[in-house]
Amino acid sequence: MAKKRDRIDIIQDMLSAIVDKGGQIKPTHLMYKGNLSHAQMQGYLEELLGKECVNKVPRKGGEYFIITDKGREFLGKIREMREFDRTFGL
Amino acid sequence: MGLSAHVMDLAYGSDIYFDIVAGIILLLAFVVVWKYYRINKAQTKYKHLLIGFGMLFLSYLFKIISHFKIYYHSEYTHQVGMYTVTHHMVNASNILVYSGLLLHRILLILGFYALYRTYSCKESRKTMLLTVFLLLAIGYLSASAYVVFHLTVLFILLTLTSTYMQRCKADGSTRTKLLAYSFGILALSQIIFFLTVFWIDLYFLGEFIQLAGYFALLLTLLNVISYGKKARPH
Repeated sequence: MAKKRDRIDIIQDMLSAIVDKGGQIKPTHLMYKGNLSHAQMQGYLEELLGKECVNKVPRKGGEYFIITDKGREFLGKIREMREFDRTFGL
Repeated sequence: MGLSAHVMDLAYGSDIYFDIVAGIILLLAFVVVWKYYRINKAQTKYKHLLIGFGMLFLSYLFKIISHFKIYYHSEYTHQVGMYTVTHHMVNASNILVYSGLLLHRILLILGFYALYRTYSCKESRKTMLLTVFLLLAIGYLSASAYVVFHLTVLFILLTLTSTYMQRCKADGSTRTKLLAYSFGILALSQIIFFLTVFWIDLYFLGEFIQLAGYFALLLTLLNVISYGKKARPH
């Protein structure tokens, strides 16, 4: 059975999904890629917007979320932390 | 007779440089774990690592302090016939040597035990408290039986090495292998320290091997950090 994702896993998946889409993503795609419910996604997005890891921008065809430099930096730190976890068997 | 001044002086031993480098590496390990703990406070195992590396760093700090002696001036006055004679004396106190080495031993044992606890969180609180008490007793009593201290640290380090070797076989990670080697080298240094009972000159070799073990730990941490930087999205 797959391990239940924790808060950091979900944030990593969301930020990775934005990066994989070229740095910007529609909320519906983010919800689908992040494997989240609408309510869950809203909660995490508010946190990421508050931390300035993502920005909300209106575009033709609806609003988009774009990853900021701070968001890329944070995603890098999470990946570094995950490698540390793997190495130390946490 | 009264204390007039305290002067601290570097007494002896070039092994202080080995201890300083080991202390810096352990402080770096503490800072790295602290950085990850701030990202994911829900991961309780970081707390064990923080306590472990923090205690190990403090252990070397106290070992460094134990290299210093306190010198103090005292005056001694007595009467010789109609003259009052005052002698000025410089005395040396070994309090830093004894207390520093005692705290070094206790913190080193408990520090490695905290690292070991990261993988054995399932043991009950009572068992943990009993183990900590016994390790404290070993640390305190080993002042007169240094061999017991080295054997205790060796046993904990062998357990850590075995744990990481098993993990390494399971996931094939070169970084985990490097970590297993670092604990293995540290265990080897404890064997050398144990052998100083028969040949004291081995002490320097033990210190050298111990430092190599901490360098392997540093290399592991740098490897993890550089991997993280490579994996950073652009």
